[in-house]
Amino acid sequence: MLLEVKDLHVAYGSYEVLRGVNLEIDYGEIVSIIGSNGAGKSTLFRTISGFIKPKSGSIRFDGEEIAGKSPEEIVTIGITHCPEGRFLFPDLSVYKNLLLGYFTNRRDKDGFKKRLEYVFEIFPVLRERINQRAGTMSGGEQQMLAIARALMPKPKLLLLDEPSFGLSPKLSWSVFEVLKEIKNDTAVLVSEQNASLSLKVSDRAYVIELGEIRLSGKADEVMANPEVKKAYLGI
Amino acid sequence: MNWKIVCPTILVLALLLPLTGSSYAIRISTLFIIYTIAAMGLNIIIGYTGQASLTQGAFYGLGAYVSALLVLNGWSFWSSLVVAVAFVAAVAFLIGLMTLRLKGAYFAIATLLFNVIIYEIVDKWDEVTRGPRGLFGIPSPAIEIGGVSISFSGTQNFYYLMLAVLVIMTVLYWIIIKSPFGSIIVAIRENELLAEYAGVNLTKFKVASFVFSAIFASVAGAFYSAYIGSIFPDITSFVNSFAFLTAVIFGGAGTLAGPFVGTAVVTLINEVFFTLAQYTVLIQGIVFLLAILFMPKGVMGTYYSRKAEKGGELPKRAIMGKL
Ligand SMILES: Nc1ncnc2c1ncn2[C@@H]1O[C@H](COP(=O)(O)OP(=O)(O)OP(=O)(O)O)[C@@H](O)[C@H]1O
Ligand SMILES: [Mg+2]
Repeated sequence: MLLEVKDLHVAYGSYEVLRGVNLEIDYGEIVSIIGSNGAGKSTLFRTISGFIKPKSGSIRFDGEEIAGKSPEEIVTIGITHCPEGRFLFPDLSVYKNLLLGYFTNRRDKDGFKKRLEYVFEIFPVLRERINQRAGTMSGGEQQMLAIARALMPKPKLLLLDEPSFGLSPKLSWSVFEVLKEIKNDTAVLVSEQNASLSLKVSDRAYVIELGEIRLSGKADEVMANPEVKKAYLGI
Repeated sequence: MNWKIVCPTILVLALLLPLTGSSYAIRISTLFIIYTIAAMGLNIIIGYTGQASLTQGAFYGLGAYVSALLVLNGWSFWSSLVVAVAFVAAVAFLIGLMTLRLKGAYFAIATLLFNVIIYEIVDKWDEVTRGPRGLFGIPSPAIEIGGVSISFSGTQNFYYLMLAVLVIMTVLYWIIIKSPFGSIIVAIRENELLAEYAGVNLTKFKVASFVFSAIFASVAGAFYSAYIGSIFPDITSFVNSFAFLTAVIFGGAGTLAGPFVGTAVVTLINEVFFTLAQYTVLIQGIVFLLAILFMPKGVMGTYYSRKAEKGGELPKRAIMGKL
């Protein structure tokens, strides 16, 4: 297993947001985590990437316990996080954004060029925009840059928080299709509220409600579940 | 503006300045250079890292005091300078560790408090600093080249010495801003949280740029004490922090040339209103207010914005400062 989360409890003050979450991701997998507003998806992501210390439970990555490590250490060992809401350096160029994404590997200059080529192949539009200020790009382009930024250090696992937020279904779909291209190098844990698109590209899925995993299984099984259909697929 | 022409031209004019024979012009220019060095340092932490430090004056004054005390104890100016810089850097490191976890205005207030503390220590620790009586008769620096000793006691000699120091410090400043380190601190300024998501250890980089800013201040302070020959506790007060801040904001925080332009204005104000010396702070305050009300990006920041609106290219790395 690439990532194993076991009985994870996370609280903001006395308010427990994650109540014993169990979750696994294998190499080469795309896994969806589906839940409505406030279910705890972003909290789970922030805990894995070291921004929040869990109250209890374990997070193992590549066999190593990583719960409680700093964000810097988490990126260095191969987990990057693309937070919700298109996080960019808006006044810096596309190139600069990608360079800063590569921060933890900065000593390896040749590696940077390779990674740059890699993300340009996945998102050709970024190559054309290389000198443009990130904040002046369209919403879709910004989301692509945000993902590309997170892919720069060649992570083993990408945490992708609500990538379709504010994008048209067509644009969202193009983002999800990209995940299939990268998954052999980089496994993906992707969170969504409206799951019809993300489930189509996912291998497996979890449904989270009020900080607890309610359902999990193969993506098509989850998609076929009547309750999921009603609550998250809008069918 | 073509910097490849502007910079050498200014340097040549600066080299020729003593030909005017005006010791007044030389004196002002020397002070301008000293203040500019401190303002450059402040621009690193405020303009590029986006952390509003209000303690640059204390580092400046501390640099002046440490080096003056050592020189008065018989040390050579150069070894005093090195020790003063190292001492101030260590102080900045400790203050930075304590304060740089605070955000925005809280950091600003905490640094202001440290400025007050440092001032009080210098003012009250009579046994060491001589308190309000100040330090007098601080000798000028000298160097020996091949057995010939050159003293920098004359106005003109000191001016050339400062010109050389300015060139060195400007190159250092330029390297800091243009290096990967410079890009990282700009990233912290632009989006601190995202920088952290990218794996940047915020505390490490913020403290490092705070220490850099203090190093520039202490170099400026040490040369100031050697130039003027006497110093008083006032030199560590927040009034100086405020003057450097005005220079950085007015010139354009987060632009390379900002500290030069801003310091030129502040130095001129001090001279023009020389007879109103007791109102200097008031006048600087007015300039500061006018700057943040009508030109929040400062002279150079506004210049680059105009250029960008007309489709001109932005400076490659130095993006307009946001405070
Ligand atoms: N910093 C915080 N302090 C206190 N409570 C918080 C904090 N961040 C999140 N919460 C609470 O934790 C719960 C889970 O939030 P979280 O952001 O993880 O949900 P989410 O599943 O990502 O929701 P969304 O789909 O809206 O992004 C919410 O009730 C939220 O109000
Ligand atoms: Mg969320």
